[in-house]
Amino acid sequence: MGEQWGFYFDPDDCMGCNACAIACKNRHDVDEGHVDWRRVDTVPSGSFDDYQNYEETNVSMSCMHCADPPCEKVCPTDAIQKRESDGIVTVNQDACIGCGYCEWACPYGAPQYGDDGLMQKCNLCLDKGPGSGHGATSKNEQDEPLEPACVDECVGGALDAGPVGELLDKASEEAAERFANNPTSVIVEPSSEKTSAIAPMDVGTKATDGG
Amino acid sequence: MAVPGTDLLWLPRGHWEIFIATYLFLGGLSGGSYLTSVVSSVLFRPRAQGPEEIFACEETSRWGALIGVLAIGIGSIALLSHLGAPLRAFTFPVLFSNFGSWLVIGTWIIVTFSVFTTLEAFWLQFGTKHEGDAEGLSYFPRWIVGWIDDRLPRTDDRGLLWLLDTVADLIRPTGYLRLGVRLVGAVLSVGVIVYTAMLLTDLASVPFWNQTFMPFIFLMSGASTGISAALFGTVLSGGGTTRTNHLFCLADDGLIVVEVGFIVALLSFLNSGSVAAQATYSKLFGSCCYLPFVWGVMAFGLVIPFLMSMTMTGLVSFTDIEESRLGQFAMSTGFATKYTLVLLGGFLLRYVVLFAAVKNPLFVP
Repeated sequence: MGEQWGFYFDPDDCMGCNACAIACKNRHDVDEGHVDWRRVDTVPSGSFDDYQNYEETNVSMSCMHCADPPCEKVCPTDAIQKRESDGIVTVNQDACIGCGYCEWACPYGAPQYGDDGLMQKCNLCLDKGPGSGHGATSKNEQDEPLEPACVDECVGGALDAGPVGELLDKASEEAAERFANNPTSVIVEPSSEKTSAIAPMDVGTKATDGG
Repeated sequence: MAVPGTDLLWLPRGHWEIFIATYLFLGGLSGGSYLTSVVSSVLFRPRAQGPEEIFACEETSRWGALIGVLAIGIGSIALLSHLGAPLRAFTFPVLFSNFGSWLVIGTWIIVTFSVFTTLEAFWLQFGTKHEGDAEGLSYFPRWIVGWIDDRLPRTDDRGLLWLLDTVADLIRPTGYLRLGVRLVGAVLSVGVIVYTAMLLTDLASVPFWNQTFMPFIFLMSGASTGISAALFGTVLSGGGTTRTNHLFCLADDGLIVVEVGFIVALLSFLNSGSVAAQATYSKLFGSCCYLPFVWGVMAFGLVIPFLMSMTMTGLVSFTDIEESRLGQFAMSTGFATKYTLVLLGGFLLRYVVLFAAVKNPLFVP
């Protein structure tokens, strides 16, 4: 398998401005409204009553390009594929029947459905537009791979994308350690304001064993 | 210090709405009604004594197979209506290549089952055996063909009905082969019911769709709604006071008791489970699903039909209520009401299973 591509995210540098989400929508000409390949959420911790310990964390999230994507496993037509060449998870809209099975299977809410009823999601900007990227040249073989729009427009430099090996060079030891136990392709820095033992994006494990 | 329920990112539920609930309900009902048809044909009919019991058994068999066809047909249309690209689904033999997906496994089970239930319904409607003997309400497809036949121009007696009767006699197996076909169909019907649950339980991100309890709940509910649909037809045909109806009704009561047991066990699991499991529990007893779940599924769909059935069984066993015409009418109405409630509860169960589903939240640093 070619080198895995992925994202890097540092919540400390994220101000929750949504520039990444809007840039993504613009580049891919995504339908207005509910379709969000990338979304930003602000997650509270603690209680307003105890304001000194109340914190908020901004989380910018898209497809996690999982190592073993649950969406791929349930897709009846094999329209969803984890590419051998760069590890990016793509969707072939010509084969998608729009059943919605992948949407339920994904623990991260990545699969989205446009007005055409077909699945679309982040393709790490392999190409532009819903369903694009399927069959595209590997990021590892492209001369000048397109930088993801979310990374391009991130005001605080909270987001980055590239071969995971390169991203790990800039990651903290803790983030790298978490990534090693992480079934996704996103490296997430721990929030410095938090002392919680639960790792960010440990969500893959947490999310699936909760039931 | 973190407060329970914070540090969590809750994701929206998927877009499976009323069409999928209908599909799951009709899939289970179809499997259950075919199973009822087979049980009536194989177990009850050989032991039936007297014209009334024979009539009730044969009506139950015909209604079961017929409802099996109609339900799986309408259910499939409901599924197609939900799809983003429904026409592509018709190319499933080529397009559905991921045999690890329950949607693919289920499609093949449903397609194969549809062949069996259609053949069974066809054999029970047509053939020279049924000529001049088609008196039960379940013969309405035969009546429709006859009505069309009367309006088609023809030069001899060999009309559409003759053609269908001839084909039915030609392809109908007999003896052990017929029994074998029915048993294979029965296995497939159970497969259809269980598949409607496995489609959900394969998704680990939703604790409500629990792999231990949900398949049994759907199996019981599918068989129960199948019996109710087929026997509702038998009651309409005038078989409400027959032993056949009473036996199937008691079998349905047994299924209801087991189903309630599994639902209670699932509720207990949800109440003591993960945050998403507890959120599901709150939805079931909260504003979202209180009415359809507590009243629709549990009260009117399970407990009240069971109590009605027990009361009617008691009346039949210990009084002579079925001796009078008024009593017969009252009992038949009671059975029809019970079956209607079970069907309503079965549908609402699928509705609640979809709409109260909560995905596991993400834990954020």
